Amino acid sequence: MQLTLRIPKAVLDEAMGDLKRPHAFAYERVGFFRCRPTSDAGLVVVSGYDTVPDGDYVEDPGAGACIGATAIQSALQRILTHNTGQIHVHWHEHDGPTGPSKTDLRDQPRLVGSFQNMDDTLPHGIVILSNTHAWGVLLLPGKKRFQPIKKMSVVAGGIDFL
Amino acid sequence: MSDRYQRQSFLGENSQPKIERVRVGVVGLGGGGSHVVQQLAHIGFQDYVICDPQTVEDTNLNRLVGGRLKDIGQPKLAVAKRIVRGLQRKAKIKAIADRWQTRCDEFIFCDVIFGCLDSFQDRDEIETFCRRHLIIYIDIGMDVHKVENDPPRMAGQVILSAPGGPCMKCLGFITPEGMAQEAAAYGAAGHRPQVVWPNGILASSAVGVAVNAITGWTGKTPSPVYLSYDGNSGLVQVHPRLEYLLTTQCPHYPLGKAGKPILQQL
Repeated sequence: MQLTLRIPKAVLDEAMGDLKRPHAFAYERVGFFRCRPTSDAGLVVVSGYDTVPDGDYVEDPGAGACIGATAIQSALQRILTHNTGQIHVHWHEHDGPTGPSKTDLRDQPRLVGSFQNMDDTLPHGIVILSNTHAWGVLLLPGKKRFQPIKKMSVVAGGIDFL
Repeated sequence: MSDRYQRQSFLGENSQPKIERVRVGVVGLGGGGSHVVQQLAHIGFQDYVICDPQTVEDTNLNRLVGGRLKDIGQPKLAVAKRIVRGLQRKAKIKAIADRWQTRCDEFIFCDVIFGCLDSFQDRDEIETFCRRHLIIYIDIGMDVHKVENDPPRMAGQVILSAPGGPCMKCLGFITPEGMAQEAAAYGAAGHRPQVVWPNGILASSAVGVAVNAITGWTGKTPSPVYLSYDGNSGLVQVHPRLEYLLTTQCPHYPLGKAGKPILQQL
């Protein structure tokens, strides 16, 4: 299956604007895309973005950014309240293709697993943005293994592929 | 880049790979859609979902691009496929000889859909589908109106409706009154006037809008696009309603409603 993620440009711009802001002590920021399934499991659409408030970060010298229980509870609550999947998103400050660090691979799949425990009828996942490209995986409804996103498009009056 | 596309290299360094990556849908392969498909094939699109349930009739041949006398009785799809294959031998073509609504899942992976449809109802439905799946929708259409003793008035439109931006309802193109009039006249309309040249102008404008949306060659990718065509004067211009749009956000299709419909118990 060729997994496709579509992101409205307005939402991507909002996310990039938020993720590029410096934080008092975290080296990077994270946020969450809201996403929805479609009638084909191979297409997931992003429907919004939620920032993590400054006060919900915790100091952790072992990670670029570490979010606390309140941020995670907020994401879990959004699943229930808005019936939307949650995609953990952060930005790597460079051009060209990007991918997860060891820390990303260690921590984020567990977090996404807890999203799936909350509602396994929705897709959840991880997206990493660079200035020009993106990398991502999704845990699709009813699946136990992450699927790589093969095509990520940004849509407004124009269309871009990340 | 293949030599074939040298003269469109101004579209940008990576424009041709991007064009080839886009899956394009064309719904309706009559007067407007046949022009659109032909131009897409010339430009180099490689991935098509095309749809039309009708067969070619003699009365179509005044405007069906690529249509020949011996095509009478054959599906319009066959004409469109022949046009594409004549230019792009390796193109992927999903051909649907049915109403698009019955096979709408085939269009989910389209990046851009051209609607070359006759009714407001069909337009409304396909725009809803596109909004739900974050697909760029480009609508073309024309009509000829007779007002008392004046000469006939020919008019048409090209609209680009993009996720999040103003929709055809926001633009005042689809209205409850128009839908109601259409519903009241259902079955009584007879054949609507159609000729080849306005379809060509509108299809060319629509394809130009799509190529800009994909390549961004003009440096701007506006949303929405609303071009109006005055067939009597031959003028295509930005529709004056765009100036008076009250918002750039669409209240009818908010982004938060994208994806599978949610059933909420009351």
